[in-house]
Amino acid sequence: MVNTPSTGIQEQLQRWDILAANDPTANSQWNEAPRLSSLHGKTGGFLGNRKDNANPLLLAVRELLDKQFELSDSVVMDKFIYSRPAADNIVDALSERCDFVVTAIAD
Amino acid sequence: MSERHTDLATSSEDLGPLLDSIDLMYETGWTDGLPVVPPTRERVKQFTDALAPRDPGEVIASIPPLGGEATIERVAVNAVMAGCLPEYMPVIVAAIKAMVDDRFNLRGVQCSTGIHTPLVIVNGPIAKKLNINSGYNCFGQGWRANATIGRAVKLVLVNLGGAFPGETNKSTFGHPGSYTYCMAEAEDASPWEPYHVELGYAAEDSTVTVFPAEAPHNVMYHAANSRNFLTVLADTMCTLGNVQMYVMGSTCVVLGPEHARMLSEDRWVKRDIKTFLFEHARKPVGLLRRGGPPVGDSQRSHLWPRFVDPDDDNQMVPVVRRPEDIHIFVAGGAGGPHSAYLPGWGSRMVTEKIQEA
Repeated sequence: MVNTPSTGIQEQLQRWDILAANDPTANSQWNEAPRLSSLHGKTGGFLGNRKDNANPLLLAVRELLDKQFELSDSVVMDKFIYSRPAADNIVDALSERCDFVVTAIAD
Repeated sequence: MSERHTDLATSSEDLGPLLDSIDLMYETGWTDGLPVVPPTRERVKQFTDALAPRDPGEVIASIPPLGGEATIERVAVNAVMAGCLPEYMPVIVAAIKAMVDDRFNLRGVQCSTGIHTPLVIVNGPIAKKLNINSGYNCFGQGWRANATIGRAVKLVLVNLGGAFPGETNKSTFGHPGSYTYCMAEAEDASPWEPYHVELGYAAEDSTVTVFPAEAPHNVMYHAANSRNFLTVLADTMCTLGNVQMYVMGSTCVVLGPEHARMLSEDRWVKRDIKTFLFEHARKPVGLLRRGGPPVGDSQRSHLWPRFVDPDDDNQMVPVVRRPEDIHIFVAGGAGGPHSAYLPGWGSRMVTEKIQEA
């Protein structure tokens, strides 16, 4: 998220004609996915990052959610390189088939 | 050179507003923890004027992960804060342009749990013109250009890229070079062609090279046998904990002038050095498996060179996939029998020509 100073600080910056070091519009390109009222009976996506420790955790989360919310289906996919975003075709497939997606990050 | 301020305060009372504005900058959350120069509109204009006739609104890059747009003016703001001089702007802009090259994988560099941070290396005439240190203490303190060019780049990455520690920046330890990490190649001390000439640029060109690097690891060698020295260097490069052994990409060797001269006098050229290191900086598959590779055995082979059989414990894995992925620079002070190895993080070293106004 953009680090936005408080209104008081911004007013002081303006008084001294000090310019912003960030891009205040950067947040606007990121939108949260619509929040679901419940996970019951939904289709869940599970995006792995191909790391040995992260993927078992992801699959355990899938099992837990399935048990607790009786998912109608789950889609498990892996991205090719853990340090890069998933390819467009993977994102498209998940957004087309799933009501929500859980992603594995880090190690 | 730019015009310097000559209207110095005549009493400590005159410094009050300046000190207040420095404190105010802390309140913005835009500093790296050290005091910054307040980026007043007037001061920022001096910096954008250094790139005239380019439009201050020109977008150099979108900085991941947040995607803030690095316009020339916003880069100038961060450069002012870092304590730069206006004439440093072409180097900073070129470094940012280089970092958003896809081969560098800036998003990954910014968000990883690893311990790397972008290193900026300057080649060509601009290094002397701006007094960018390439000699004694070249990775250390004492030179305004090194300290502030590197710092400006880091401020851009955080303020426009949104890589805040613990939020999108997941680096386990961080890196002292996250404050600043910039040097020049000691072209006069090198017995070989400068790095940028090796890449095909003219000697009169100036370039900036960026590389996500760990801290420099010292390689001490006091004797005078080139082959033995390279064996020591190769051994330093292929330790089990080195992430490079698992993720490949580019890697960086900085030869001290004494070692470079010894090698040259024994008629080693860069190509031969790279080949030797590629052949000798290796570990067997069986041993690397104990290192806990970040990806499963069945998937490792897409990162290691194809000639390595990941199911054969006796196969030897090189530190990089090709000899040309070992990048060699000459820098540092004379008289010390030291060189440095800087492990990478899996992405590529990228060079950009510096466009001077």
